[in-house]
Amino acid sequence: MLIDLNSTEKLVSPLHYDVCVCGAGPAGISIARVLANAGKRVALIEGGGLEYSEDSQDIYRGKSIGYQYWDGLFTNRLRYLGGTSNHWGGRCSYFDPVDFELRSYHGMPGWPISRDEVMQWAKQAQSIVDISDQAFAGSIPDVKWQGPDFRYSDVAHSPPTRFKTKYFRELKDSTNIDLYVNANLTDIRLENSLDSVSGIEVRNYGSGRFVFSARNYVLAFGAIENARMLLNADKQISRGIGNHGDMVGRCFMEHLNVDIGRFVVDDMSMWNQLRLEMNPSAEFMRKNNIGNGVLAFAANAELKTYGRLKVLKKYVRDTICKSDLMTDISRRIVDFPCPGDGVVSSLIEQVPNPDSRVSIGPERDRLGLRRVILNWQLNDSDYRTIRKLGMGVAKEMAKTNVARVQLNKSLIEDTGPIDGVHWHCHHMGTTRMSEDPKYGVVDKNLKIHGVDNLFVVGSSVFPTGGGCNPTFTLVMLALRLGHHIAQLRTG
Amino acid sequence: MDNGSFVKNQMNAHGLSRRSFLTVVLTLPLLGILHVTQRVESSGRHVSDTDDEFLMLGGWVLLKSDLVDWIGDDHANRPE
Repeated sequence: MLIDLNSTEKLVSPLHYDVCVCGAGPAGISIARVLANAGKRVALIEGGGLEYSEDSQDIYRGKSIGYQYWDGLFTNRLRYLGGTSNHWGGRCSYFDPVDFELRSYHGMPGWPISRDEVMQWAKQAQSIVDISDQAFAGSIPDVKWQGPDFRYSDVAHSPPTRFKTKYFRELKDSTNIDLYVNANLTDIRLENSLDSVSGIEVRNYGSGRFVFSARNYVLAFGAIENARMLLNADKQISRGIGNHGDMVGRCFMEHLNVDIGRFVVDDMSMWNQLRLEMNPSAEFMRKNNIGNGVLAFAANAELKTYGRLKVLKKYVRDTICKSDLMTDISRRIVDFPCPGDGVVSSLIEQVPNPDSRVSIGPERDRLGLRRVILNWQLNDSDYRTIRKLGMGVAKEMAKTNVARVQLNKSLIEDTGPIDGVHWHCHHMGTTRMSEDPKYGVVDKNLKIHGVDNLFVVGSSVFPTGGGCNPTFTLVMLALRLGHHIAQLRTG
Repeated sequence: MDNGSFVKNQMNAHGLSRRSFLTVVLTLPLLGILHVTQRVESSGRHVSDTDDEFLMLGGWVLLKSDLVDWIGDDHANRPE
C-alpha cells in the first residue's frame, strides 16, 4: 500500500509493524521485499516523494571542509523513491578474496565475515539488478594477454536497474509492505534502558508528526545519511546512538578517481570497441602493502568530433594527430583524443581513515536536523596505492607489449600529494562493521553495538572499500540482513 | 599595398609603436628557444632507471629495448 504522508494528516499513531525500514533505495527496497516475502509486516519509510523535488533534495545540502568535494554532497545522491539508483551507472563487481584478509595496510580490523557469507546472496542480487549468471564471465575480453601482476576485472553491467521503475508496482500492491513517501525520519527513541529502540518519529513536509513502532528497525539511507541520522539522535545519548566508541561517521571512504596518465598502442585491431579493465593481483597488493583498484584503458579507435563544425574540426585534428610534435604542442593548449591513444582511468581503494569523517554542524534543515559536514581526507597510504598501481600497470603494459603508458607528473614523484584526485560518488565506511566496538558501529549481523533492535545496511557498513563498485555488494548485504531479521525470534 | 604599409597598418591597428612591434617580433623566437630548452631539461630530470628492465623517460614507462626500437620510428618524438 502506498501512503503519502503529505496528504495524510490524520493517521492514528503509533503505527505498529514487525520491521520499520527507513530509506527506499536499493538497500531498503531489497530488504523490505525479503521481509515481506517472509510474512513480516513492513513499513518502508521514504523521505522523498515518487519524483525528484527540491523540498526533499535540499535536505542533502551540507558543507565540505576537507579534500575538495565540490557540491558532491548535494548532487551525488538522490532523495526520492529508488534513491540514488535513479542515476546509477550500473557497473557491478564484487570484492576479491584478498579484500577479506586481515592486512596491516588497512590499519584496523577488516571484514568480520567471510567472502562466502556475502557471495551466497550473489544469485539473488543478480536477479535484482538484472544481470545474468554469465554476465561476469562476459567481461573477460578475447585478448591474448595475461600479465603477472594484474588480472582482468570481473565486471557486469546492469541495464542499469532503476529500483523505483522496477519495484514500485510490487511495493504498492504488496499486502505486507506499507510504503510511506514524504515521510522523514526525524528521531529515534530509545527505551529508558537505552539498549533498544521504542519508536521512531516521522514527519511530513507540513506540520504532521507520526510515531512508528516495530520489533526491529533498519536504517538504509546511504553512508552519509546513516551517520547523520545516528548523530542527530542525541536527545537521550548526547554523542548520538551507537557512538559510544566515537566511530559513527568516521572512516568515510570514497573510490579515488585519478587520471593515471595517457597511453599509446601500435596495434589498433585489438582495441576496437574494447575497454580493458584490470585489478592488481592479490600477490601484488600484499607485496607492495597497498589497496585494491581498477585501472581502465579505453583506446580511441577513430577520431570523433561533434557539433556544427565537426567536419572542419575533424580535418584540423586529423592533421595534428599525424604529427606527434604537433600533437604534443597542441595538447598543451587543449586536450583531445587521437586514434591509437587514450587515457588510463581508475577506481582506487582508500584506506579506512578515522580522520576522514562525517559529522554534523550547527546549521539545521527544515525538519530541525543538523546538517552534515564532510571532512574527506586522503593520506599517504592512499597516495602510495595510487602510485604503486600506476607504475605497476604501466610496467605490465610495456612488458606484455600491449601499450606504453605516460604517467601523470605527480605520480612520478616518490611522495607527496597527487593532483587531480576525484571521486566516484561511492560513500562508504561511516558505520563500519566490526566485532570490536572500538573499531566499528555495527556487528557482523549489522546490528548497532549496544542496541538490540536497530540495524544499519548499505555501503556505510563496509569496513574496507575494495576495488569494486559498491551497489552489488550492498544489495547482497541487504538480502543477508533481511533473512537474518526474518529468522530472529523477535523478527 | 607594399610590405612597409602593411606592417605600418598592423601597428596602427594594434596601437603599437615600431619599437614595441620589433620587441615582440624579436622576443617570440627567444621564447620558443626557452620553451624547447625547458622541455629538454624537464625530460632529462625524469630520466631514471626504474629497474633492470624498465626506464622512465618524460613520464613514459618504457622497456629499455624500446629506445632502440623507437629511434627512427614515427613514435620517436613521443617520449620527448
